[in-house]
Amino acid sequence: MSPPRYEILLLIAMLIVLILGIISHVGYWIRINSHISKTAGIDVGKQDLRKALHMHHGSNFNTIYITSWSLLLVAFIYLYFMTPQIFSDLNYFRVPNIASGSFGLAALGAAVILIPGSLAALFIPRACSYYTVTRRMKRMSLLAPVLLIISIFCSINLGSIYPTIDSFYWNLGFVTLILALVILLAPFIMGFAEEMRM
Amino acid sequence: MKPCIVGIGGAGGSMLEPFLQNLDLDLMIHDFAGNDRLTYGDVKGIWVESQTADVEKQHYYGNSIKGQNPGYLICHGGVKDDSLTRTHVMKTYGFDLKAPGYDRRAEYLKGLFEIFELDENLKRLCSDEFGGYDNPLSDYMWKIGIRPLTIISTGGSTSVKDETVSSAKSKRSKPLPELLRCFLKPRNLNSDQNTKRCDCILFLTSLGGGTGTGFINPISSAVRSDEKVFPIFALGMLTEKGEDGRHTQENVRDLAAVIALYDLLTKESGKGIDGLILMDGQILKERFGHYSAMDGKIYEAMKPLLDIKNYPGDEQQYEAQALRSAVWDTDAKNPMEQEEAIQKRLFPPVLIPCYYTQPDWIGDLKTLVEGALGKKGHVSSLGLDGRLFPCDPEKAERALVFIRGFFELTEIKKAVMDRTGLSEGKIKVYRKLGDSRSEDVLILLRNPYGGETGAHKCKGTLEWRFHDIIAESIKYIEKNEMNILGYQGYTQLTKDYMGKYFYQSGGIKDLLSKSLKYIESGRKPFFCRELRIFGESAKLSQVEEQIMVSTNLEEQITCISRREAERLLMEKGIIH
Repeated sequence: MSPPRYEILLLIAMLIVLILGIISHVGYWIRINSHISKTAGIDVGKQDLRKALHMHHGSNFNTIYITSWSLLLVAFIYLYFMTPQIFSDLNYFRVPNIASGSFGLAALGAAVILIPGSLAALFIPRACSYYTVTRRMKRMSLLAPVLLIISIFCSINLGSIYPTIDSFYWNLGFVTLILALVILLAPFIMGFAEEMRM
Repeated sequence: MKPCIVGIGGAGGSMLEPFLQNLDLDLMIHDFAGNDRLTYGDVKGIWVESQTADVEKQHYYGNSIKGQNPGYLICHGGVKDDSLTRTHVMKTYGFDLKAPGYDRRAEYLKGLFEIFELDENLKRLCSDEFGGYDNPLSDYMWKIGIRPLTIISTGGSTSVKDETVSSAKSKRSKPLPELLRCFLKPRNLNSDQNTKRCDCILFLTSLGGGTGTGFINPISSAVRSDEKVFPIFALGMLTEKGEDGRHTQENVRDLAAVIALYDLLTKESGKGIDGLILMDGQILKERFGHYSAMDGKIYEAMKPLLDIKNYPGDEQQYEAQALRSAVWDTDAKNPMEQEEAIQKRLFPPVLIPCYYTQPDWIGDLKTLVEGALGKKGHVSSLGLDGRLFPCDPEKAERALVFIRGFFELTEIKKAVMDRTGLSEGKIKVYRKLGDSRSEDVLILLRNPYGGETGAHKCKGTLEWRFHDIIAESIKYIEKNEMNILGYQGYTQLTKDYMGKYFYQSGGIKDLLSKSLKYIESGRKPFFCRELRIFGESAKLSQVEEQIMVSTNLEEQITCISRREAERLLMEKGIIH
């Protein structure tokens, strides 16, 4: 059995980061719930807890945050599923009607934004509203869309030059993608880390 | 509690800045939030200033008249240069309604506002010229600047009349069909607006004799005359000793501060503010050095009060009205007794803020409370703990504790009881979830003074600080008669009234001397009676004296009735 491709290993690393974010979120809720239950003197329902923790982060931040998550999904699909380089049976080039069209890439991006992107837009900012996001963290989040656009351009370049393969562009696309993911998950991870310290 | 924070004067504007800082991202190219700023505790605010040059020098505030946020309002912005009212005031009294920055004397603005209450000709003139306004300055500030930011502007007033109107409106509106109710919730536009607006007012001002010192009383009275039960608080900062940033003499500032404090603290319940939060610029200066750091500290200290992440389960107590009741709280056994007690001759309390923060992995509740109130027996360790005004916590009547972090209610009360000696019922706790990076506490001590003879000699007590500024003020009044009365703009009429106010028997100098004696003997309150420049005779009648010393309720009522009778007889010219 041949060893898994280097790109697949990186995909697993990215999934681990994502899972870490989810674990942080769940852990945060469990710890907060336990602190409040111990000290509130009453049974606190989930709804009450949500209401108590909810805070606004501002329209500008939410816009950037939702945009970034949508771009993250697009960048991920472009990087892994555009050329047959990684998944030879499941990629954009397997749909020649769209791939050869003038607006093929745009259609792929729009499809990603519309279906999983809209779900992300619905749930992730809401989840984020239970965390304290400092102004510094908010300023950092401005980097996410920039990094993701770099990643998308790298993928587009890779798609344009295929079948030629340029590992520099792929690596650059991946690094920018994972950095953006870390930035977007930072409120969850930092929130949990702060809770763990108590 | 979501206050509309009103910074008055130059220092008030600087103090307000951190409260209104936008916590949202600044995208520079476009603002998706429009004119709405994301502020801590969702507070809103406005800067009220009279010094046009100061306004033009800064870039933080925009013109609120043009809808800019955060906005400033020039308090005489509604008065035209050739205004008839202005001309009348200038000719008759020598006051200028458009004086830039005004004079650094509290009595100037005090007098300027009083004449609009007492001069019938002026009232008529003002009402004709300014479309029903009683005062072209305070009404303009309140109705144009502050009111639109509060729930009152959307009919969300707590007054009975407004409640009746809104319930009548809701009865008239047609209910949604049963089938649609599953999908659509009826939207109450008023309530939507109300959630964005403020349910109380917090004035911020330094008490250094500028615009803020002069305006704080008239503006709070103007709001109160319109809204009888709307919670109004003031945060006043006593300026530092020695020369201040504007190089004004200490005793001039002391006199202005004392006049402002005297007026604020002698307006009976329902006529002025609901509580005065007092900070000492001297303590802040010693600890933080420069003004911008001091402003930042004031904001930090008020954060536990403003935090809207309330502990689940007891949200109702965080409403501004509930807080107002807690501030006025008496030892009444039921709400009726409480209401009766408020109706009595109660003066607004002084609330001394004590603030401390610590990382949540260091220290415990005891260290947090001791950090705020100082260690037991350490009265004079001024500036080394969280007390932002000199005071002895053990003399407090009550404590309002705003705490961020995960703490049990009983433990919080116990820690405060141990330090202050207050009984459990006199400690009100407001728990907030905070941001889990650190825990902090703001304890507002109500009237932490009195009950001890000679406390003014002990450095670090409230009596000591007040005794100092009152004594300085009296010295200034005594030595500067020409300076006080000879102000070039005053007409003879104003000079005469000012003379009576300052120097006549029963005038402010006399009352302040009495206050000094009261402080020395440990009496509470030490300011006893409202005094006007152009109003009733400044002479303190024997009846007033009796009210001040009587503790029996029946006796007080008799005295008040006699005082009223005396006033009526004087008005009719039967007695003098």
